[in-house]
Amino acid sequence: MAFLNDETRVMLEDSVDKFLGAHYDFHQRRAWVEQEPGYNREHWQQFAELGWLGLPFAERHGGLGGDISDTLGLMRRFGSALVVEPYMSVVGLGGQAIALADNQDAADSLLPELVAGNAMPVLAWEESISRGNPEHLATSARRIDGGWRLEGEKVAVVGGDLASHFVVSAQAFEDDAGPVVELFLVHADELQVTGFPTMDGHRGARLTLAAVDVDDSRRLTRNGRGAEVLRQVLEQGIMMMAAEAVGAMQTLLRRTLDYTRTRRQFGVPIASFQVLQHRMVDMYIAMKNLEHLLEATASRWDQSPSHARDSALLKAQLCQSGRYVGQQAVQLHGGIGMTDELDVGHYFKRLTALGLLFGDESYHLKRAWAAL
Amino acid sequence: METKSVDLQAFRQEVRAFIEQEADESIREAGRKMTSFFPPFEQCMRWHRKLHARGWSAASWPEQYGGPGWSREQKRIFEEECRIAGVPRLLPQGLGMVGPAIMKFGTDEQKRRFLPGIASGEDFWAQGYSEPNAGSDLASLACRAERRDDHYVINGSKTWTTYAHHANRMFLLVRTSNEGKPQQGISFFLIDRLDRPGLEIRPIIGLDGFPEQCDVFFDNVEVPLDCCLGEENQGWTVAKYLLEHERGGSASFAATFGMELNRIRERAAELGDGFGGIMRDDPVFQQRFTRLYLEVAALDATESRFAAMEKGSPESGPMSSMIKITAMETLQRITELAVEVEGSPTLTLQLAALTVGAGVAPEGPEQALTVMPKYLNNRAATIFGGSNEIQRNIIAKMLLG
Repeated sequence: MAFLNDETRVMLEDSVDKFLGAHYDFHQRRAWVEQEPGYNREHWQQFAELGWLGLPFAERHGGLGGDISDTLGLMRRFGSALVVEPYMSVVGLGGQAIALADNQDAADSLLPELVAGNAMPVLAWEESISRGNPEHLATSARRIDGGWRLEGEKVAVVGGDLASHFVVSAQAFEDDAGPVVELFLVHADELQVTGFPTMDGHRGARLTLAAVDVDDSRRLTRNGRGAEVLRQVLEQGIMMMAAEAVGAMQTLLRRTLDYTRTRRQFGVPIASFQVLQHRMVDMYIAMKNLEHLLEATASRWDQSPSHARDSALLKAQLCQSGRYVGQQAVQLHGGIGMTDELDVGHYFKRLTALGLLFGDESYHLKRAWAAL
Repeated sequence: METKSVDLQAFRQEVRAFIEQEADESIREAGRKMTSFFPPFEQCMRWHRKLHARGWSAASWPEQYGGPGWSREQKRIFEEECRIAGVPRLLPQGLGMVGPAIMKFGTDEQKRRFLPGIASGEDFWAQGYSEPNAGSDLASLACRAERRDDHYVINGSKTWTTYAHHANRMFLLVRTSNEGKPQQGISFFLIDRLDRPGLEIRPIIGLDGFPEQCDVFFDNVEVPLDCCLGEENQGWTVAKYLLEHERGGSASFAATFGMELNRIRERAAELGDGFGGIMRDDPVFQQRFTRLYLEVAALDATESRFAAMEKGSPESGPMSSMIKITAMETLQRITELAVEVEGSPTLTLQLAALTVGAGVAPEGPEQALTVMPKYLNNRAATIFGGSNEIQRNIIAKMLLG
């Protein structure tokens, strides 16, 4: 699909390449990850100035008027450089949820702030019971005078440690009818955030909502549209993750090819061993499978009435390809691949995390089966 | 020894009572928080010394060197009880590796000097084999020792030296000659002190964020001539003997893996499947789990055959390679399934909660705490001790000649 014209897109991607080439260094990344807030604040401001934060948002919100497919080239480059800034969490998930929801006032006030780099809304949908399924949730929203009372717990909130706002999914009990899934906007200081670093150098949080009262203006969706918005956002998010994974795999494969060409054992470069050559060919095939599937998925996105099958297959492929390429990159590097010092292990860990987030392979194969 | 009549039931009770009595909370915590092949050092060594006080630390050693004189059955029972209680397995470098090598190749003086400290847990030996440019191709090692007057001078480096930062002694392979085939000029050294001038140890941080392996640097380190185990330039024979010990044989992987699988099955009965049911009832999970159960059953059968095999028979080398390949790959698949069963809570980085004695409660379910570090650390299982690629070469050589 791609809503931006080619010229704008090429310009943008050039700016990403330039920026990452000049500013993104693995050893510095380590320092950003270890210090608060866990990423480089100046980078985030530069992302805003370069227009990246506005990429998929409407022009009236200060955005570039593109859509999620326009972010894929950027995400691939982010994956390749192991970017740790919470772009997917804020732009792809939190921001998109607000943009796709029904509350214009909230969108009008928050999205320009997001695009300017000031607000960081993050999506909080996962619970300990959800196992990938956004519609299996226990957090509740009950009517109180002039608003809603939210109660529940959200886990594995990606980027949750850095958020200014949360888009929280809940079972809303409106009338006497059964509950429907709706989305609510909650400020970070209105609920309890237990933040933590994650094994891939990112940040996460657990949210405790103990009788959090919000007024009606914070209700983002109506008539049970929350489930539909969540589905859309997560399906788009999976495309962004797939693009990031492709980028990470490209770097890993390149590193592995370079290493096996220079590492000598038994008097020869280990790349001369056929068993390792075939392994690297299989890594290449695994990477290409995901890359091509992502292209095909993105190209028919806006003609397809339902993305359930496509996004489920894409995520399952991400799990398979990411696991194989990550594991084999470590194996072929040998002991050095097991160290914190070398970036290879960090790419492996990021691919591991991308595989686990938003439902694992088994969940998505089931989802794809149901959508065949 | 097999004929000695021992009441095995009473023996089991005795072992159980001892563990109950002596394994304090921090030793058990170390057992629970084990995330690689090597348990947390300090608690593990404390457990070692407690076992020694009872005469049980060197379970498979001959009595003359401090072994308890147990039958095979007794050893099995002892291992089983330790496994069930979840106490840390003792570190293998001394008891399982250099100890047996000293018994086989050492002089009386070396035996007298080194074996008691290994049995008691007073000493910890680091293993200096791999080098930055000699991993799979171990024989190409370049760390060298030259005779100068009445001592050797060592220059070079070793890497992937487990717990060298905790060790007070070290066994290592050094090049003492460049003549002949690469294997021929290697000697096996026993370094009695690691505080020698010019010797530097630097821990390496692993994928899980903890230091376990080390780099060791030798800059004109002087050691006495009698540090050589076996003949000078005959170290490869010692190393091969010892590698076979490392590659297999002693520990029963199948039994340990069986316990890991049990834990996964228990968790699958507690955790939801995301659709309102529980994981245990999910047919996809059932198939994956049972396939791993089968792998462990087959491994168990192979391990039994191997245990019954005569040491040093021509088949035992390839057989130990086969065990290494299958056990390590099964282990990796088990850790992978565990990650998927626990799901996204495994992504939380919990260095403090994983540290024994820190008193920090885990974020999320306690059962998920060690799952990701195990997955990450065990990626090394197909790399260390001779990579699985190298083990396959060994078997190919047997099959194809």
